Amino acid sequence: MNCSQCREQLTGYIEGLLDERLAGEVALHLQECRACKAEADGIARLHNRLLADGQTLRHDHIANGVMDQIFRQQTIKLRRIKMQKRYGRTISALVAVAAAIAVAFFGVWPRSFISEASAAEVLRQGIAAISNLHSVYLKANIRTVAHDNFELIGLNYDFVPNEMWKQFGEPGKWRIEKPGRVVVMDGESSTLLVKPVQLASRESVNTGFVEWLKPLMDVDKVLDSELRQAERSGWDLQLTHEVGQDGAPKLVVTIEAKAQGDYTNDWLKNKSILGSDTRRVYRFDAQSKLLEDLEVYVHAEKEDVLVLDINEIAYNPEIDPALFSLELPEGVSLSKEPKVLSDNDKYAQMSPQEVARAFFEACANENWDEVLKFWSLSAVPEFLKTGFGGLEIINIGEPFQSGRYPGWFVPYEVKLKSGTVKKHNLAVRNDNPAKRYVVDGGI
Amino acid sequence: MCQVDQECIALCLDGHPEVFRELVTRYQAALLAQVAGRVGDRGCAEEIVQESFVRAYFGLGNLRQTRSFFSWLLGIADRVTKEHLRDRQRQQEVARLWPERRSDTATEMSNDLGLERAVAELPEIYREVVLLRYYAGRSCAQLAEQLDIPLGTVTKRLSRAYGMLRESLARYGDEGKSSEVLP
Repeated sequence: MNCSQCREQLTGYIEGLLDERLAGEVALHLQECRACKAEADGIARLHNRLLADGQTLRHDHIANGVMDQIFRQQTIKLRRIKMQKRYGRTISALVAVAAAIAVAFFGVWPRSFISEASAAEVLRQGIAAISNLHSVYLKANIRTVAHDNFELIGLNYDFVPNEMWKQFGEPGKWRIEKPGRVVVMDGESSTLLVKPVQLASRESVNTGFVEWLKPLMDVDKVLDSELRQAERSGWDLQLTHEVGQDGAPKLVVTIEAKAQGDYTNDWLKNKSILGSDTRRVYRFDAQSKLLEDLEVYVHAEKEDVLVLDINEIAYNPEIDPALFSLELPEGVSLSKEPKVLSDNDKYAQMSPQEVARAFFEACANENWDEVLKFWSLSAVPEFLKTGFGGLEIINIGEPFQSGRYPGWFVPYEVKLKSGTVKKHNLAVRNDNPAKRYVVDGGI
Repeated sequence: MCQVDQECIALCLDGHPEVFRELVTRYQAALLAQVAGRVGDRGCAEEIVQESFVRAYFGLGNLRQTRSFFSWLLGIADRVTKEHLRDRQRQQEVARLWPERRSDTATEMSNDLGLERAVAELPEIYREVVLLRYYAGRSCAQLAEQLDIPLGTVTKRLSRAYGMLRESLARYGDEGKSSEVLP
């Protein structure tokens, strides 16, 4: 063994990782070579010193402090939610009483009470506080499915992290992302990529890909819209005061909002924020008037369920420009606006139920050219071929409408080649230039 | 007791916050070494490490790759340390302007602060293996599994780290406290 070979093995030798033969060769070389022995001693000294320091620090007991703080913060958060529910009005009343006492004793109306006159005023101050915004970043936990529509919520779903970046200006740019789905608006068009199934869509700047989340990035417009809606619809608007975890006073505006749309058929009820009766809790820093977080609770049958929690808002952060471009992977199926077909009339005359049946029959026959007439894509995605090819139709039900969705839902039950029976509602819509119903979801 | 970080995290997210103690015990020394090496103050380091763990707990839901918990934790500790150093700089500026309002920064030293400073200065991939090996008490084989790299890569990274640490310690004139050497 020469010096270079020996030094390569020194770490393994000190760690006892070498086999007997190799360890013997290293030991022999170290007996014969002073330079390598000095090098090995240097490493061994460092090794022992690191081990000793590691041992010392492992005896440090900070776990109790950490766990105490975690439990305390969790209790504060729980208490905060309960306080708002039970004593929101009481706290507002107490604040008003305190202000009245100040007037009686000092003959003045304290400045802080003047500036915090009402929930509406707090919203207006919140809008004014971000009048010079050039960029914003938001991070939200939402009860949703990682690869499904951004609008989708479910009371029993787990929280999925959603991130939003927006650069204001002409043109503005933005990006919204969750683990299975991303949308980027680069100033010229909006591109959606559904990662697990490699489906993509490229549309105009003002696409509806992200529904309720997109306006969230225009924080001032959200507050303005809440204010107008509350005034127009007579929503309940409350102002409460609390001390934040950072010890600073907070102003909390709570809005009770009603679901929008017709839920005679309640398929879409509680499946989006706008399709639910909600309590929205906006929390502002009392000093800066900046919105710091937003929680949205859905009023479910038994209890209120937190479905959206914006827990991080950064105003005017530096955003990496690379975030505002999205390269589509090769082989992705690109969704297109349906074109007028040479035999368009035949398809345009079909009812939603007939379209659903024809679509599933085309899948059953693995007639993929026909499938593309009902689902406007550049190519049939692989998951549809392998999952739905050769299926067997069990039942196609009566179409219905629900909530704010402009199309129809057609209940279906099919048996897939794998033997799985799939029961769901196919979403179809015909608000396109070809005026024929095309598949829009529910696969 | 959870063998791997992913199990602990899943339990924490499933409503068992007490399991987080296991992760704190596992990584407290590694974080303390890195942070003490940066701030040069054991008391401050403990506060920063505590704050980092608390932030990590409340951010667990945002962690995409639970396998990478330790790297993510190091990143959080790094941010909290920077915030602390910024605050300290501000306090020192105030102290210069208003000498009677002395900023009171304790300077109780860690046992081997010189070594911890050298570790904290290592590039991330080398720092990670040193912290896990010596301060989280992982064997080389466990390290290879946790970082999903071959055992040979672990020993190569350790060798490279040793070289950098020795250079760094020599630069500060601090080449060794232990007299034990190979037989």
